[in-house]
Amino acid sequence: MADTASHIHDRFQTFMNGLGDRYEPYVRQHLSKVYMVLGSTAAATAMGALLQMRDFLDLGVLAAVATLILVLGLHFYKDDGKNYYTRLSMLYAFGFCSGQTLGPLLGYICSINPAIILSALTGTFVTFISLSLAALLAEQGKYLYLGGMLVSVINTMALLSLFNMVFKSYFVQVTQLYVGVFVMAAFIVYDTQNIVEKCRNGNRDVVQHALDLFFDVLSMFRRLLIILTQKEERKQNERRKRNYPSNNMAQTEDTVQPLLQQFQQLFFISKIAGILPQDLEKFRSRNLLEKSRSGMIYMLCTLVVYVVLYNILIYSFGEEDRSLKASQSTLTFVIGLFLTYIGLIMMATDQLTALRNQGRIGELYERIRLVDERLYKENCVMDNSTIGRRIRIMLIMTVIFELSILVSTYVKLVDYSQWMSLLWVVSAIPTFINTLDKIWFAVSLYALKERFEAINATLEELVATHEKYKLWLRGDQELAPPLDSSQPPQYDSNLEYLYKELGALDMGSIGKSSVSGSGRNKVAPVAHSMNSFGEPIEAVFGKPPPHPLASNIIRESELGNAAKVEDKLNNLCQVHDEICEIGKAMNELWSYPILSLMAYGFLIFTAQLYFLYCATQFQSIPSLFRSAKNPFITVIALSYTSGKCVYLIYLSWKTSQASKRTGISLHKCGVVADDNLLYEIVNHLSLKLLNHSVDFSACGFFTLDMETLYGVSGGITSYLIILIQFNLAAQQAKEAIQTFNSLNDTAGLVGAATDMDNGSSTLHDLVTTTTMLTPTG
Amino acid sequence: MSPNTWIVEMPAQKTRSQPYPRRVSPYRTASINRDAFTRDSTAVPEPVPLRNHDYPVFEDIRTILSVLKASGLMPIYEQVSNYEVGPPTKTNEFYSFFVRGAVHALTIFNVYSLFTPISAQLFYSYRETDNVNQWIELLLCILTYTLTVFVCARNTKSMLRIMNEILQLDEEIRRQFGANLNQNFGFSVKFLVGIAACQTYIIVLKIYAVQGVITPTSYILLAFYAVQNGLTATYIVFASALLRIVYIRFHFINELLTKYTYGQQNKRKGGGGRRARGNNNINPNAAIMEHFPEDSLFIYRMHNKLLRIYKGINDCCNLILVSFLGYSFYTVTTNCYNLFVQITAKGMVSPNILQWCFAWLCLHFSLLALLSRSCGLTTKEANATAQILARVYAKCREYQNIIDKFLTKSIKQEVQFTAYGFFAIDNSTLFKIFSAVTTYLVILIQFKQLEDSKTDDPVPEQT
Repeated sequence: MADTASHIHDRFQTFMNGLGDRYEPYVRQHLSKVYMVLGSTAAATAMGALLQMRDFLDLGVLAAVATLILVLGLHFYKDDGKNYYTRLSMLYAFGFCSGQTLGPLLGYICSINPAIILSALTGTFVTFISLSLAALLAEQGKYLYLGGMLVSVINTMALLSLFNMVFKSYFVQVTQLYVGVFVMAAFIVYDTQNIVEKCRNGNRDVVQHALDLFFDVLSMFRRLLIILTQKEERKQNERRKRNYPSNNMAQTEDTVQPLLQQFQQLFFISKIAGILPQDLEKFRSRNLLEKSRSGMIYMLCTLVVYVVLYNILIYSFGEEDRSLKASQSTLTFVIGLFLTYIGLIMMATDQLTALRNQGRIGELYERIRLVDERLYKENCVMDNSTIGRRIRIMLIMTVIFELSILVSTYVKLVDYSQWMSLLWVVSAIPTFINTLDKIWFAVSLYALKERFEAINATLEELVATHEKYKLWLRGDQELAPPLDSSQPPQYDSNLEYLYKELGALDMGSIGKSSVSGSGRNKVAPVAHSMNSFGEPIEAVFGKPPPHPLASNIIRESELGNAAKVEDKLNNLCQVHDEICEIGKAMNELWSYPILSLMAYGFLIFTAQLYFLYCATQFQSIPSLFRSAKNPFITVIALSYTSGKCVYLIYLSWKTSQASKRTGISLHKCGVVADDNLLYEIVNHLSLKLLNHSVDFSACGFFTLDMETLYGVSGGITSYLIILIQFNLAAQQAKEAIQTFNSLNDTAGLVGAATDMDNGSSTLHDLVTTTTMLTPTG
Repeated sequence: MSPNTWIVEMPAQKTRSQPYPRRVSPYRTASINRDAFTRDSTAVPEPVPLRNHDYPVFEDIRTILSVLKASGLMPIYEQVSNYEVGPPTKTNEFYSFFVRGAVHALTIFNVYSLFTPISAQLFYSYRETDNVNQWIELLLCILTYTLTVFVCARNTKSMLRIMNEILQLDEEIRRQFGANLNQNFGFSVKFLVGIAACQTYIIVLKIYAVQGVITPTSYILLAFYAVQNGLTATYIVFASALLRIVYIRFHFINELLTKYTYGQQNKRKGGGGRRARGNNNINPNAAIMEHFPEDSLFIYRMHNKLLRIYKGINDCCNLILVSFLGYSFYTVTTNCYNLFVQITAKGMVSPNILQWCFAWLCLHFSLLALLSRSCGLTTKEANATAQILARVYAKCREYQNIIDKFLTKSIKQEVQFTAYGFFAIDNSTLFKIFSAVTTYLVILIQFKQLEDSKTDDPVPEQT
């Protein structure tokens, strides 16, 4: 074990040192500068492309002209040591403008399949990294001979493309694309070595060198984009030909807008991060979560990459820990080791669970859609647009938290003069991925809660309507207000609800016309406010029509009609049951991730506080928990972690509360109607409601409610106290021993040599006896 | 034998209902909602008319039963008929009695040898506290097993009654639905083999670890220790298997009830619309609502019986479960602690003790997991009946009243498998045990560290 570990360690060190040894410090510095400038230029390009695509800023042809001018400017406005910043800004402007020119192409690709951009980016990135490493690790100047060849190939290609403008040969075009990719790849190698060589010869023009590399990367990216797009287009054409007739059938009219429509952004981000394996294209076109094999492979790849990166991170940052192990108390060490990996475990749980569930999540949302349809038939407004806003807020919060923790830790506590320090970024990956996954859960849970509340609101509305109706009846009998239909102000107090409903009708009809646009999916509150216009009044339960004139409009409480309301209540009850079932299914899908999150939250919270204490006592702490050295960062990290856990618990608790409230609302209906038959129905249904249970739990180990939260906080406190007490005791013991030692030493120094021998020999005796007492077993 | 009012009722039932295949067993079609058990549906054979008389009862848990019978924990019952077992014959009863007596004699002998220096060579351990630990562990093991034997002896009759009740239930289900509820209880056999292997392994490890020549007394002590452990574990597996049997019955009636839920009824009417195109037949999963009163009565009765069986099992195992849980909690804690000490001990990791600890941990964890899982499953299934019934929406007021009755009854009816009323056993028990073990572990380790820092620190590098 230890052998292989040290072997790997040596290999790793030689690899890292290989780069360090090969190049002189100034070359290294220059290279890092070049790469930094290259990276920021790429960022500028991305910015330009994004602005163009979002229609914030579109320079159009101007951008193309500007690129030309800027390139020429950079070429002629030579570096003289003082104009670095001018040239740098020119380079950035160039990057921005080329992004602008790239915009239309990207927009077109987005309309086909945005995944292409991602794969092209990944491809370019991976190629660039590997080729640069190859060039840097190869013998000095080994690939410089490529230069001549490459230039001639480029020239030939340019000539050919000129000819091709006339002949328009498909073959030449394709060849050019593919050859172009390889040539650009070769150029990366060549340019990298060229830059090193130039730098050694005294040319330190960072901007020019970055520009060279940027050119290569950009043209490679562009070619990859085009190649991939052509492929995709071909595929799509075939598909369209194949299932054109069935396409029309599939487009059944949806009465409600699916919930998933609000998840677009979240889906893309999770897809990129590798949390969801589902098919991107299906989601875009039809808001469906479907299985996809390529997504699965991508996800597994990301998982492996993350795990490897994280291990490298632990390895490279853990050097201090290894030396610390001897001096540290064993418990701190073991706990530290465990804590370092719990983040990784959590992330792996999330990803693997998502893989396992990939077929079932889609079903869940389909069921929610069906519920929406039924609710919609019962005149329940489901406003999904708030969910979209919620997702956005949560995403922003996540990014803010992650970034602030990452950046502040990086700036304050990481030694960023080394290459390896960049790996610190990896430390944020597990939590970020976990948070994304939890946002899915939280938002879906929130949607369920909203549906429960909608049911409750519908019931309450029935009650309110009926109360007004009764009030009106009584008022009519007692006061007998002068009812004159020609005077609008007369019936305003009684007809408020009617106005409300009519208002809802307006809104509803708007909502129907633009179902896809706005988040609301309610149509008109059907019949019941209208039907009495034409229909004769059935006085079912002896409630006489109070006034012939007014009754035409007002006789309108559903609760008056038990037979009719029974159906409605039955339906609501069934929908309630269905939502409960969905909640259970959802809880089951996410049970392991939630369990791991709760374990993580508990451990990390305790650990962070404990290490904060250790840091204030100037004791050494595991290097991955260096954020505990700074109380401010600790506070941010703690609020982030606890916010995640607490929000989930709170939401689960609220959801089950809302589901239980339905019974109360139902009873209100029964009480307000004050009618035997209805009361019977209500009794029956409330018995049923009693058996619709939705309790969220983590694998059945504990339920997610406020009680658990209280228990957990108590647990954290008691563990902290235990840990700190023992830490104190251990420190005291150590100090005592040290004073004992120093006393011995001084005694030995002062006293005669024999005394010292005696002293140490007694100590030695003590030690040997204790080791004797501790048998090997 | 307890008086049985049930059998008296039978003729009336027979006259009332048609011959059995009228009702459709829910298992004949693959269950949709509960996909965790689709496996079961394949295991169920097609309904077979009554076979010949010597069809053995409880065939599915035969192995474990025979082990328990041989060790005197279960009575060696006689099979009266296909659906009834009788009390054991005199010789068999005497045999069980004899075995139990031998066990108690051995126990007394062991306790005696534990308190005398005869067994000192078995406690070779490395620290004084650890010796005490092992000692307590042994005592706990002896206590648990003795308790098991006592409780089993006392509960012989109720055990037989439970078995008879289960058999009667089976008979009625078979008569009404033609369904055979035998299941594959492979897990019990696997666990048996696992327990035996684990115990043998532990004993071998122990024998290797002891220095010097082992006296026959030590051999006896060790062997008996292993047997005790093994049998206690076997009893736990048996309890889980019984629970599993009850679970299957609960599941059966739940499946039956599911046919009447609104979801299935809607599908029957072809309300789904999309799928109805393919098969214009009615949905085979939905039952006709007219049969509901009859079926519901049957289901209620079954449910009550099952609950009674469930309570009976709980009463039988109560004390054993409590002592077993305590014992296994103690064992898990000490073994985790030993493991930790071994791992952190500088330079002298003994593979022997590591393996020993791992074997113990595996054994106890798997047993705890099995127990809590089967308890949790059964409890959940028993509670699910009311939930499924709540999904039945009947138009008719009569039917609604039928539903209401059951639901009202089940409001205050807490179905739980408790350990002598101390706590309910389900998944959360596992969690509680786990967290308690962690807490104790942390405290123990801290103490050890304190001890270490007092003794060790003068030697190492003075930095």
